[in-house]
Amino acid sequence: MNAPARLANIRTGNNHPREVHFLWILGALAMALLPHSLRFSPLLVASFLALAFWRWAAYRRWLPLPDKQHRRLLLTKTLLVITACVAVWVSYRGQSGRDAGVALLMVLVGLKLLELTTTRDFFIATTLGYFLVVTNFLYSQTIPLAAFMLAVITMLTASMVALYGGRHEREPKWILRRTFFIIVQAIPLAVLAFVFFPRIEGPLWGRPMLSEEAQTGLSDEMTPGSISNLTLSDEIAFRVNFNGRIPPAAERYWRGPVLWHTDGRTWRRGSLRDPTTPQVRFQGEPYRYTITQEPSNKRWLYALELPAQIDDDMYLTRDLQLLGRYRMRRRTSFDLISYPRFTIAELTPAEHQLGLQLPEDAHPRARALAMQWQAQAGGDIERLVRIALSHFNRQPFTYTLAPPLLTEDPVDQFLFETRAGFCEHYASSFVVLMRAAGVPARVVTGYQDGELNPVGDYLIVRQQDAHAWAEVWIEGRGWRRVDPTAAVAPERVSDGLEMMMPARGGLRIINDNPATAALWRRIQQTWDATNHRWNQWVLGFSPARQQMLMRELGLGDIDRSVLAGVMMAAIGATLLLLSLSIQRSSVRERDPVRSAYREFCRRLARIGIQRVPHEGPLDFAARVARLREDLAAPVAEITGSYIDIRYANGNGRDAVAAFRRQVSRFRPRTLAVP
Amino acid sequence: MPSVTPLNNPRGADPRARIGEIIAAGERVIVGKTHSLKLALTCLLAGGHLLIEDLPGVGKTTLAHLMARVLGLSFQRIQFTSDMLPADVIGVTIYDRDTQQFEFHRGPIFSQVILGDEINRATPRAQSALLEAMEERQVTVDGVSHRLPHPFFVIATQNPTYQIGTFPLPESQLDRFLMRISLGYPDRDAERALLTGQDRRTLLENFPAVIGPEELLEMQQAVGEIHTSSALLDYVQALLEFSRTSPEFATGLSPRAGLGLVQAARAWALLSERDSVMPEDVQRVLPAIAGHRLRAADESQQAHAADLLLQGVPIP
Repeated sequence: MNAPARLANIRTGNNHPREVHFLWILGALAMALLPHSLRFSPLLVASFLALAFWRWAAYRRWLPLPDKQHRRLLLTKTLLVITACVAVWVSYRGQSGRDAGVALLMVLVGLKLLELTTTRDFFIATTLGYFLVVTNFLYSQTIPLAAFMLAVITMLTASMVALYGGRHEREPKWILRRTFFIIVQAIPLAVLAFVFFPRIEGPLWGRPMLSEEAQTGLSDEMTPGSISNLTLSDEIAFRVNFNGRIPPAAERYWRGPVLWHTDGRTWRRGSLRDPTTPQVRFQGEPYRYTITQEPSNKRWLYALELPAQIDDDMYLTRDLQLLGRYRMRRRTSFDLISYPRFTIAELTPAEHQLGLQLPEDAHPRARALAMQWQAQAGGDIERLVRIALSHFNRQPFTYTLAPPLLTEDPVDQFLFETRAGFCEHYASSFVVLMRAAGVPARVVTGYQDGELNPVGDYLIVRQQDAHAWAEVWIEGRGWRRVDPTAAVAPERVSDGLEMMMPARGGLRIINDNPATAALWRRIQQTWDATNHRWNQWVLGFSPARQQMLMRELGLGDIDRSVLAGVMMAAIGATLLLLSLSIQRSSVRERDPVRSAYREFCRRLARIGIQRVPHEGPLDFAARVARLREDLAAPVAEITGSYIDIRYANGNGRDAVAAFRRQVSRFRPRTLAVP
Repeated sequence: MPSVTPLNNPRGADPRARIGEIIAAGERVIVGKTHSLKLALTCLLAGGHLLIEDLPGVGKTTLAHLMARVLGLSFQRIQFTSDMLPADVIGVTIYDRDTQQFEFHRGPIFSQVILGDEINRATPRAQSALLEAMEERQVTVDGVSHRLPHPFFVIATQNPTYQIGTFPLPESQLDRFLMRISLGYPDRDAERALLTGQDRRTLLENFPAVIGPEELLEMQQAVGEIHTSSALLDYVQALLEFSRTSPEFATGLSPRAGLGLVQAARAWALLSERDSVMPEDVQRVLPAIAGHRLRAADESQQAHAADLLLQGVPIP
């Protein structure tokens, strides 16, 4: 096809897309909808498929389409549209929002399939497809989804390429190669736009998370089994980048909720309502680190003991717990400095009272044992702690992820009968024993250790690293951390839980062989490092980060609105240049005869008589004469000269010059309206 | 308006002067079908064969007969049937007892105008006998070639192929017809003229010839001298290219179709009393030439294939 003809085709859109084009676009749209199909009602998916089938059946001539030829079906179509809108409205109870919006878009795209006839319809459907792709990011922003969406965009673009593919339209290889080049050309532009377009605070797809959406993670309650349940999850709690020193495994206690109150079985935060921050004396070398916490929908944050410098939107409670001012609804990074050695001098009466709280009449055997130890220690609290730990160590206590069910008095039953438990059993019974012996103590929950990822050099802390330990008050030294679990299973603390459990995922055949297990581990680490960077640099590309990047590029002081203006101007200029070049390639005319004739046609177009591109000069002249008798003579004269030069033998400079003079003298006017 | 220069004519008389007469004469018989009549004449002047596809009774046979009468040519009608043999068309060699020799008895094909009526009712064998003769302009029987008369013009008619008992002509054979036209029902006035007027058969029997075979040959020669500018050939090539590359068509136009298009456009220009071909001439004849060759990709568009082609290509 020659260029002008092809352009004329694109402009008028008068080529008729066929089944092959339909299949391309249907494939692309189905791909765009695939991730949604798991999120939305099967009815919605089924209705989309039914509409798609209807359109396809129409290509096969099995069913009529609701178009002008089948007027009765037009009413059906209108009813379908109304039904669809009402159905969406009813199922979402009139709420506008993400789900309702996406559902409506899906239904309308399905209905648009019924209208796919002209090139323009296909164009619109493809554009809707690009929108559908974007809606997937409202639900998930992972790398695999992004990769899949890129594939969908490729398919959508390919369906456009197929539409204008001419004789290649039935060669998928040709189409995909073309598309590939288009996409590759677009990537640098997309990157530029991503980096330089002014960022809006928070992710664009900042989803309003519903409170019902349960998040795994530590709660502010602890019952036997609540933490061991968590350890089954390898979901990531947070990641830590250390700036400088990395603490050894045994010091990586990520402090979370502090639990004071027990009813014998469940531990709760208790009623300590003291807004003051305790006086803390820091000693030694601090750790500097950045925590990137996954959304938990909870207010508390995790930190090494003890954060000395914190951001504005968080604070440290009386019991040294780090709280954010809001619930953590999206992935957040914050920088911290923690001193592992610190002293607190003061224990308030309220703390003292809470630190000794025990339910009435509970744990008689534990109380008896504690009284016995108290006598043994003779007031030396550190000695008492040592006695307790050695008790755990020497007696046949076992550390297990699947402890036997505790039915009666959980503490007594665990201490004297089952002797098998998980960290929460050890921490809670240790605190009960200490309190029974008259020592203020509390349970601290959080995470312990974490997996150091050598790829990217950061620590991954997962839900399975959840842990519980105890803190006891030692007069003069303050709150001291005691981990009774370490007395039973020291490797739990030094090596982490990881070593006690089979490797995450993977087949046994991989995990049984040390070489493949190491390789598998390496792959997992690389993958997580990639995700971490993706979170930090793509999803977390905030205005602050953009400013930082711009400063590094030496563009630091550019105003955001100026930047937006420059971007818009650049895009506008590019589009203008493109459209001009398309215009020029069809209009550019070197032949003076043709350009003069074109001028003649332009002058007639100005008074409302437009020549159709395929209208011959004689036909056009005849039509002009019919419409405007007064112009018949000059038009016939000019047309005569034109065809003489162009189609007969009457060429020659004089003839051309005369013709051009005729055209330049020709000034038709619009007839005055009577 | 374009200047009209007299053509080189060995006898000095301008053959175009007679064209108006021919058409006027034809219109007396085939009422209200000037365009079809002009196309048929164009086809003949361009030296091609004509296929008329239409329902029975709309005047296909009358048109064929009329062409022969008006141009003063000899006329034979071959009614094709399903049991027809090639010999019924071409002729047979018979042993003559008197001369003791084999003698060739000419079949109905040895005539200047042949009307092959309902060609798609014959078996492919009988069809091909006619079609081969059309192409070669001679027939060979028992190793002896016999030249067909000159001018030689076949008008075949066929019923729409969806009718019962038809053998549709394959595309390769359709391509041998320069044009395919249809007549269609007459309009109201033409119908009245037809109903009130004389019986067409009797009218034709006494119909005077307007020109003779020699003049027709001169006219055919004059067609070859009609000027085609490079701008016009650009347009024709753009049309051919579009028909081959546009996704709207499953099969494009062959080079033979292109040659035929130019030749027919010349003849049309001659009929329109011009000495050079205009894009309009191409456009007028194109539907008749492309209709049976061009296959639209979308079958529902088949009837408009030629229009799609014309509308898709701007005149350069």
